[in-house]
Amino acid sequence: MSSYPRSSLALRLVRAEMLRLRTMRSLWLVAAIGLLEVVLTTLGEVLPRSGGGAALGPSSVQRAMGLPASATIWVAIMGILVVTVEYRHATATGLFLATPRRLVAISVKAVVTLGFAIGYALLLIGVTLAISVPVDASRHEVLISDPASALIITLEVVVVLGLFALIGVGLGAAVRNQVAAVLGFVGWIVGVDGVLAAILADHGLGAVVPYLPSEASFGLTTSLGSLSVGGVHLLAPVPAGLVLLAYVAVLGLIGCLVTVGEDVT
Amino acid sequence: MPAGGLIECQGLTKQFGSVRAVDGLSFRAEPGRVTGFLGPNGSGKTTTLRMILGLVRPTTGLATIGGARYQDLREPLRQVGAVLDTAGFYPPRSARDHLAIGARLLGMPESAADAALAWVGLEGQAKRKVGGFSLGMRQRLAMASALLASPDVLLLDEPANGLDPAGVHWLRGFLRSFAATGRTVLLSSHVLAEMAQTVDEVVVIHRGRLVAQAPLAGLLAMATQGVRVRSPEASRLVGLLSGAGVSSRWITPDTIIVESVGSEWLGGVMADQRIPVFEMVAVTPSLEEVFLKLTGSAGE
Repeated sequence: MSSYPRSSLALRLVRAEMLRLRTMRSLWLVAAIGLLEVVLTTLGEVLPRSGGGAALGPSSVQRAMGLPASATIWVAIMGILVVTVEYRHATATGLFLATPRRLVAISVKAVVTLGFAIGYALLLIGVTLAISVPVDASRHEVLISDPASALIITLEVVVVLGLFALIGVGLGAAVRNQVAAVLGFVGWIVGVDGVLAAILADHGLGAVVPYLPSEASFGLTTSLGSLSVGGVHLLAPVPAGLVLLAYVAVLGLIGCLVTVGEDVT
Repeated sequence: MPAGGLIECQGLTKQFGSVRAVDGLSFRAEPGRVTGFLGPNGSGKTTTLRMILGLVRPTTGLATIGGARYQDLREPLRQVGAVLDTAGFYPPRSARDHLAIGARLLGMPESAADAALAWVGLEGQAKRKVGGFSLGMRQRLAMASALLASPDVLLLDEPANGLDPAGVHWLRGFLRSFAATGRTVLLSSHVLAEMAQTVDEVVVIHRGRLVAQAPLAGLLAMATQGVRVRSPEASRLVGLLSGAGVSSRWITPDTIIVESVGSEWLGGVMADQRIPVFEMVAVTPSLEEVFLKLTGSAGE
């Protein structure tokens, strides 16, 4: 047997998972798409328009900091990919041979993906700052009018992206089929969620709408300005965050049951 | 011998819907021996190996390695190396990164990945994406991954698939030397001629059930078909044997196979009758012939 010093099992699992993520091409591709979207959105908001004048007000930097919240769909897809790639390429066999306690294996994936999403959120905020600060500085505007609000916006963006990454991990573990999980999630966010919200509102169930995933994510980031969407009053950030956490818990539970209960063939 | 290497299956059964893939299977793979695990396609070999490794949950029965279920082993990768399918690689990942992940899991320095690559002859392919590897290269990488921590037990499913003759020769030598150090090898393969040169013990299953478990030499001896004799007086010998109630059949004009007798008895008869002998050989069937006979799967 080996004579090298061994680190703790938890540390080894995390380090191995970090290398898995670092060498996962599809993850970086989706991250790049999300980054590009945020860059373009920020440029569109910050750069002077042809009619003259800035698109945003005096606290434009602060508002730009909230734009990465729109990357929820990308971090959720990343979370889905982190799990489903193991089934798509049959590497789940190696994963569960190395870590036969499958709950541990999935938990480590969730933790590392959460860390990745937090880092990604901070990167996106940094990029929006890198774009918006020089523009506002050139206009001699107040860069950050309310530091406390800026901090809250940062926190909200980090939390919402982190929670959606975990939703992705849970969904990926529950569905296992990569294409079905990604299409299902995108289909829900892009179409089903809005249609369902409209149907619920039309049938006098508007009170339920703020609890839907998209609306809860908007509620979590109400510091960005929107208190209602489509006439529906959103939840406050903390309750909205708890609602998203409940989605994480439910999907995580289903994902764990599937991961533990299903054979790896 | 390390007692930790015994693989034991007791009444292992797996039901997939209406299909019983494995049916009350019991066998042992002992430390210090290479045990061949044989069966036709769909006989339940891969399902059995996956049950031993905790990837497939048995409907009933128990599979243990060193007395414990795989999922209860403290450090499974240190104790058991497995090669199950060569598709289990993420194509865009480099060979080195694949092994480096294993090294990190084991708490080994990543330089262990380079050593393992060199050991299987892939040192020049370290940075190449696995998606571009041939089947044989993937097999070598899978072997490197399984052996990274120098485990006591190896479970291999078709490890010679795609290997070139030099690779097959290397694998045979390696498995023999691995078992010679008191460690355990359970090997599933369709290449029966190769198995015959590698294994000590054979476990044969068919339709999920155990058909035979025996040392290879014993299994072949049990199935001995008779004695082949070449003699210029073969006709006289056939007449004598027929009179004694011993059946024989012609192979060539001067060669016969005498069935169901030993060469000692036959040699004595021929000496007594002064029948000249040009050649006398005990006819032992190949492992393939024994396998087909045991499983009745010649036409499958």
